[in-house]
Amino acid sequence: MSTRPSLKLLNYHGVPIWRNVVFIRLAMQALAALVVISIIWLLATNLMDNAEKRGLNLSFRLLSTNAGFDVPYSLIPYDSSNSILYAFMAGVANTLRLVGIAMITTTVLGILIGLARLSSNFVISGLAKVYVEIMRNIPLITFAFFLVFGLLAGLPKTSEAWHLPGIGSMSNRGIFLTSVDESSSLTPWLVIVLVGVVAAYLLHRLYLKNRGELRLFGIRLNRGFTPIVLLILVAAVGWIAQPDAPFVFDQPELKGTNFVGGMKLTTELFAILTALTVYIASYVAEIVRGSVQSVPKGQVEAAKALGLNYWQVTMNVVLPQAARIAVLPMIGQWVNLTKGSALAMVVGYAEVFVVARTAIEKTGMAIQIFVMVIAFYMIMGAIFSLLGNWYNRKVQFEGR
Amino acid sequence: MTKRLFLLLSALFVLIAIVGCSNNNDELQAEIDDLNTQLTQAKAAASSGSSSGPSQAELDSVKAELEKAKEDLANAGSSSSVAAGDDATQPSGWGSRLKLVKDRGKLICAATNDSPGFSFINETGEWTGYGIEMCKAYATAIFGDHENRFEMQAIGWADRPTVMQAGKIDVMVLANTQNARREATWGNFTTIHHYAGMGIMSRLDSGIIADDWMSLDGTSVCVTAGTNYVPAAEDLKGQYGIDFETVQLADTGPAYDEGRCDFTIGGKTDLGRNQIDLTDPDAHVVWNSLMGKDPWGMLVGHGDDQWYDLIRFVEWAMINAEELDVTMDNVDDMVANSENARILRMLGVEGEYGQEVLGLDIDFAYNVIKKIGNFDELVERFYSINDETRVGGFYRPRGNDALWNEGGLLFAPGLE
Repeated sequence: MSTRPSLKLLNYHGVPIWRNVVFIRLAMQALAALVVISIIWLLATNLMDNAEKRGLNLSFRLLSTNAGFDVPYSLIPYDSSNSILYAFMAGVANTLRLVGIAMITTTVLGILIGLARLSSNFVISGLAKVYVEIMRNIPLITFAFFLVFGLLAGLPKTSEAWHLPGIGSMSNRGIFLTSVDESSSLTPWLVIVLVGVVAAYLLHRLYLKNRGELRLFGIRLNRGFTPIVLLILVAAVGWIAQPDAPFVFDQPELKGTNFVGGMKLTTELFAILTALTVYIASYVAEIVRGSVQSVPKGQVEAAKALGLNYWQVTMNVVLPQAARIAVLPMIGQWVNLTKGSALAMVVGYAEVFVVARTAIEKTGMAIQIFVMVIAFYMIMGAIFSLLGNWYNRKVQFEGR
Repeated sequence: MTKRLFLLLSALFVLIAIVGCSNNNDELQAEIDDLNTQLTQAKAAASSGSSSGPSQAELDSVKAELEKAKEDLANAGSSSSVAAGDDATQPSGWGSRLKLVKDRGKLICAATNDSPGFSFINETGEWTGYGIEMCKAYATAIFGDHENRFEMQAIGWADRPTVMQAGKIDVMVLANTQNARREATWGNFTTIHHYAGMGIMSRLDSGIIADDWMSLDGTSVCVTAGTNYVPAAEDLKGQYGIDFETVQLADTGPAYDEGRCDFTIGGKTDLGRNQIDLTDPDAHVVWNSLMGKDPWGMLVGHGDDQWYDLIRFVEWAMINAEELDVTMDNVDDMVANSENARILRMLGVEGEYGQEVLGLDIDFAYNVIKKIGNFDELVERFYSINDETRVGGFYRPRGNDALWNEGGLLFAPGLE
């Protein structure tokens, strides 16, 4: 008789049905599903009943009405005649901008501090340890408050802003940088540059034909330099020949009390970005330290024996292996970062939660809009998890 | 993965459901209790033989309603939305809040804690201000005294719509601006007690000229997130064809003081008060021009007319007391010696004007005036010109808040 468990549900060698493993498993699954579904049904109907009784309108209709409020420093073009739903999306875009930049800065700073923590230099590792310990023991909201009011108090007024001529300025309204914009002559100039590239390539082919030797008026032309010089010459002629330059530099100018033009990074975004970066980086540093330490010592010793220097060992041997271990905890920190971005509310950066609060004031749709905010953060978390799992599968050793 | 999403989803539903939890049967029970009260009243009136009391026919109809309500309660398991019959005199929410408050033994009021004079926490850590005194007045009207009978809950400006919808608090005693949108979506505003104007305070060094709207172009404004000042700032841009940067903060004070913004929007009287607390008060100016109307009232939830009337009765009593010169000090004397029928009626010495229908004591106005004072005394406590007698707050001229017969807008129907 085979010992393999049969999938026969009924009359399995005389075992009564309530002791049949297959049946018990199926029954438990069904029961669990039933319990969950009935709880959800109960809560949903309860919500509907109570909302009806309180006269709460649970429709989303008001989302399409005019917003009538501003979403300051919006990433996507926005004005107050857009719908409330669009204002919400502008808030979402602002959150994504904050999270996107912060993900890069936290990861870079975290890796640097994590490596500093592992340094054999006592001072460097000591400082990194102090940093990590301090940051991990301060609540993020306290730090954000401290930072934004420190910045507001410490930075000068716009009329006395710190200038870096030609580049930008910094004041308590934010950092304003000169931006590079295209002008009408950009397209013809790009065509000329393309011609230069083609010419340089042809010159390169000519060198190959002549076995790397080319002479002009008896002077031997350097093989590496000449095509580049040709390209630069063509580009320069194209630049000068046209009435206006292909690029214009948009310098921020003080108009009234604010700078106009150029690029701007408001104090609010700068503050919350710095707070999140400095704070989350301390956690990332610990993840990096832990995963680097868990790379087998033999790997490093073998790499050193091959004659690789410190950076080569770190970048090519240690970090790629540490990344496998670090990926899942890192995803966790990015999710933390996303949730922490809601603290932008205290510093005045108009991310999704601030917009949601204003929209609730405007429409009274507290339940609907909170559901939307929760759904947004859930979707963000799910996307991070999916990406993490995908990357994790990709980098794991085969056959494990 | 799917499992996690599923868990998250169910957690979400739990959250949604918590927002709106209450029991259907409670409501019917409250209604029965209310009808019982009416029945008792009717019986009492009948036995005392008062000619102005309810007639036998009314008594019978109340009895019939009571029977009907009991039946409904028994059937409540099958259907939740049954009202107390088609011939019920009151809507289904009637009386539920008062019953809740009486069962709890405490009135719960919500307020922000950052409005000097109105609702704030003073140096000794106590709630104080006009709004808190009003909360005490409501508690006094319901329980006869406010000692241990009320509780303050601190909320943020942006929390107001959510708190009102959750329905866990009884009255919101905040510096709430009334407008149509909020009436429709937040709750009912009771008597307007302060006819403020929406004003502007600007920094002198910003190049903004006071009362010149066009000079706001190209500047920055700090507004409190979740207030009607956020859309109002937007209206201003459209009205004058100007543009400025809006910074929305939970607390605008420090940011404005540090120069993040060139001007700020608020109730004009509040702005004058906030100016004193700035690092250099002389570097700022409060505009004479107003951006708009800013009438302040207390807020109660939708759906319980009895509660709405009850709260307004207390406010009307205090305003009428000012009109009739009944004060905390002379109220006992008035009860004993006054010949004025309006005063005697108000204080519950003779006649009735509906306070018992609303579940209040017949002498609730006496209690309120004895313990809290009339409207003028209350305002004087926090907004008096006299620094000696003022226990907090700041000087605020009565202006539009004066009585209707003294050139102001403050008006309350007679208690008769």
